[in-house]
Amino acid sequence: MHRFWSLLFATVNLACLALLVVAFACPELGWWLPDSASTQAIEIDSLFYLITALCGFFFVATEGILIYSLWKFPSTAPGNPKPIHGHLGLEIGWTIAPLVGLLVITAASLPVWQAARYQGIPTSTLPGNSETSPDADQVILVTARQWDWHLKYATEPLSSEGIRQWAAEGTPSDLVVANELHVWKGAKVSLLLRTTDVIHSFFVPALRLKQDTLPGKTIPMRFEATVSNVRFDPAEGRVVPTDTKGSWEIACAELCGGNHFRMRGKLFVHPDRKSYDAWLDHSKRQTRSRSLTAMVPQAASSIQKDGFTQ
Amino acid sequence: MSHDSHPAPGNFLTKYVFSSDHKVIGIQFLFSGMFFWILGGLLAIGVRLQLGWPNQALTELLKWFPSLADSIPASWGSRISPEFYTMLFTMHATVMIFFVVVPWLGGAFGNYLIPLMIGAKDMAFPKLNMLSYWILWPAFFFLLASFFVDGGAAGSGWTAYPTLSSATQNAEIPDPGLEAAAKASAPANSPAQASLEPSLWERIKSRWNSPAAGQSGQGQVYWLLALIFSGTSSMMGSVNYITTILNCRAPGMTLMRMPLTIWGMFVTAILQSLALPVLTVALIMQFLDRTVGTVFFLPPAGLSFGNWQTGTGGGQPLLWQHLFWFYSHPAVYIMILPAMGMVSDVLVAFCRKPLFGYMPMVFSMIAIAGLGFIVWGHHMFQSGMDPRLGTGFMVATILIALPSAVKIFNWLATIWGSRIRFTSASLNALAFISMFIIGGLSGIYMASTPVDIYIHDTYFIVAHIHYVLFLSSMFGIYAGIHFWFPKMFGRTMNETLGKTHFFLTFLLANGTFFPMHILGIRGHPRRYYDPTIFDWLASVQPLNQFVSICAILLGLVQVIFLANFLFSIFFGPKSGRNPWDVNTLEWETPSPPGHGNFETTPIVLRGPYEYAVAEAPGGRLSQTGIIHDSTQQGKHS
Repeated sequence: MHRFWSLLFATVNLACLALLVVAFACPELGWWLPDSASTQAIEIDSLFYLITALCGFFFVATEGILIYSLWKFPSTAPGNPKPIHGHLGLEIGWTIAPLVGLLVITAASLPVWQAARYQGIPTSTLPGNSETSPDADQVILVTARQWDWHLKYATEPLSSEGIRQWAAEGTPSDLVVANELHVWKGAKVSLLLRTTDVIHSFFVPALRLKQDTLPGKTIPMRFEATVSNVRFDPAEGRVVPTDTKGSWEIACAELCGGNHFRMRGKLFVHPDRKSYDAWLDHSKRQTRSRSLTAMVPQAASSIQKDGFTQ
Repeated sequence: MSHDSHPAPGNFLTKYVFSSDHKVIGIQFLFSGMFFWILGGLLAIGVRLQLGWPNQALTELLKWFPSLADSIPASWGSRISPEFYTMLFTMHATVMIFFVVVPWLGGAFGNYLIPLMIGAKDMAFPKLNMLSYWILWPAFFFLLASFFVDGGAAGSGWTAYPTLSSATQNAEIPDPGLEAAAKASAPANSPAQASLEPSLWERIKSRWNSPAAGQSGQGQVYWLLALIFSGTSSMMGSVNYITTILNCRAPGMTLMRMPLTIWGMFVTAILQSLALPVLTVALIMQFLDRTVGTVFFLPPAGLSFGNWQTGTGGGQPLLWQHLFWFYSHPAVYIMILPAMGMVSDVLVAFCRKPLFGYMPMVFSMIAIAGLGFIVWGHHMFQSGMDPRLGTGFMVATILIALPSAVKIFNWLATIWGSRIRFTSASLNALAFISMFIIGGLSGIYMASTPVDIYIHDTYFIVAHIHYVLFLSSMFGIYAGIHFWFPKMFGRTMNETLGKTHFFLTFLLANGTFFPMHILGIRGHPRRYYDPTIFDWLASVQPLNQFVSICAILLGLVQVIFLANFLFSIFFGPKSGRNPWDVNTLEWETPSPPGHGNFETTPIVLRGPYEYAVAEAPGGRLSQTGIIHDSTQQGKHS
């Protein structure tokens, strides 16, 4: 009977491992990481695989020892156990071995985290006084509310001081679009995230980007897309998919009420600035014919005036 | 000590209901936990029904539960509405964490085992102990009543983040201009004006209905009250445990001779007594925000929700997250350290070999508890706090994996070269170790801040917490119940049913929770009512269905455990004092022990894990030291 229990532990652990391997080895199932389309995505994925390799080793080693012991040392086995209370050498050994692995993970994580999040922080300022770097090609203000995203695109170049004022007041030529994030491949995009009501979280799986929006604050975030999925077709007057990459989605990742799951947006990465500009011009002409102000939540601009990076 | 001052109870009421005997109180915690365990399980099945088959009309099911059908808005027919769904997962987590796992580990096992295992007659403060149980009843009332108030039970997640949980409409703040005009036109203290002013009670009640989250109106206020009371109960318990363990140990029971179960309880009690006040304060702050209109969690400029607004604030929503996780991260260890201790004791009893590395095991528990206080920020890497804080929290979080790894290796070394008896108790303990490896390793992914950017708030987190809380803590609890059941009720549980329950639970729990890792790797956000509206998640819907089927079956097979438990209380075969042939003190008492526990005060001569001793009869030396044939003693009692 003891063999049965040993085999049960083996089967369950192997089945878990097999599911991971199948999900990884058969991308057509769609059970693994989605498309990765930003510089940050590539780094995060590498880190994910590094951790998987180290954890996989410890998983196989520890579960292997456990299952082997269940097989080898049942109460029916001949002989008696030895009264061993411990072993200093072993304790030191199995403290240092995982420590090395954990330090490797820490060392590999630090630069990626700094690249993803530290860019906006001038070292001379106090915590919380973060700013976006001035070298952004694109500045987009994302305002979340129950239950959609409003994206305001700056259409004129902004200085780092100008960004602060623009985020608070805007300029008449700005374009406001609901639930569509348009960027171009290689553009250094600066996002400013804010919310008018509750906490939301701006989650773009293809960019491996996720950041909560916090009531009363404006949070800067940066990324650079490395793959494009659409181009603007002037003849048709709309964006068309360029390859099999298809659509990339934006989701909310922080519970924000009953319709939390409905905050679905889309990411459009244009191949170059030309295509993006063509889309921008087209969209501005379109919205000018409608009322621009109707699209801006009025309360948002008035209430959040002093909410920039407090 | 004080236990001398409380006499043996006389009548039924003082013996079984308002008892100050730690054993009765422990069993009271056990039974109330069992009720909420069933409730929490049913709520989980509701969540899985929706996720497996979104938008499916549950007409047939709801015929059986007409009262459930009433709480779903009419516009949704017999489908689960999004607000109802948020209530389901919020209350599932709340019930399972605060009303099942914490009361079972701390309340039931802590109360029952601490005096018995350290050789005390009772707790240091028996009356406080009784109060710690009965103060849970207001918590039970508010929790259960919240399902029946306007808008249903709380629905802002078990984490209850403001401003979703706390924002209230500020309709009663009058326009200053109009107010001045009214004052000028009407004489002061006019009764007509007074009647226009809403009474304080009306103002408070108006705040209870928050439009921010459809479901978290009055339910959220009840939720806060329930948690304040259950926290008070845990606080009383932990003060009692610390005092008892420090002051009431039998002669010779040094700290380093205590069984690991007691070490687990001791460290947990210290954690709880330091962390709980912070949660209680946070809960009271949110309660004040919701009722009398303080603005602890409302940002200075206020909030605007489409067609309504809050007043101006002056607080900070992130404050809640810091306070909440300052308790709720240590709470994760509060929910695992006692189970780690119990599993160590069960494991040794059935391996018939000393515990490997007693001192490293004790010190790793202390290290987990110490580091546990400086890692709360890893729940907040994406919250908008300064990214430099994230770096510090990442290093601390990665370090906390180390003592956990040391514990795993010591358990493996204990099993290595032993002679394992496969019983329901030992199988559940072995499953704890096997599953804690998976839960521990998956935690490293989220400790790494960049990877956490991607997997934060996805199903990867849901998988991780269930591997730690269900597949580890719950298996530890199953092991503990099978192991100490003979002591509690004087009878043993049925082994065939126990092993059947273990076999099915082990398979189905892995079937339920392992695929959630895959969902998380795909990026499936948690707390989603209907993931199928997203193109990129369409491919994992079959996995969601598989998970749901496993989860429903997992719920069903718990009936085997429940039946075995209830049946064995009355009809199980009688057990002697020491059915498993174990060294620790509780097995020297009759089963069940009488009032005052020990017939004579035990004198402790050695540690709890003297097994595989060739010279001793039965190959073991009990802690009291008299070399006796334990098998004989078991038969006589």
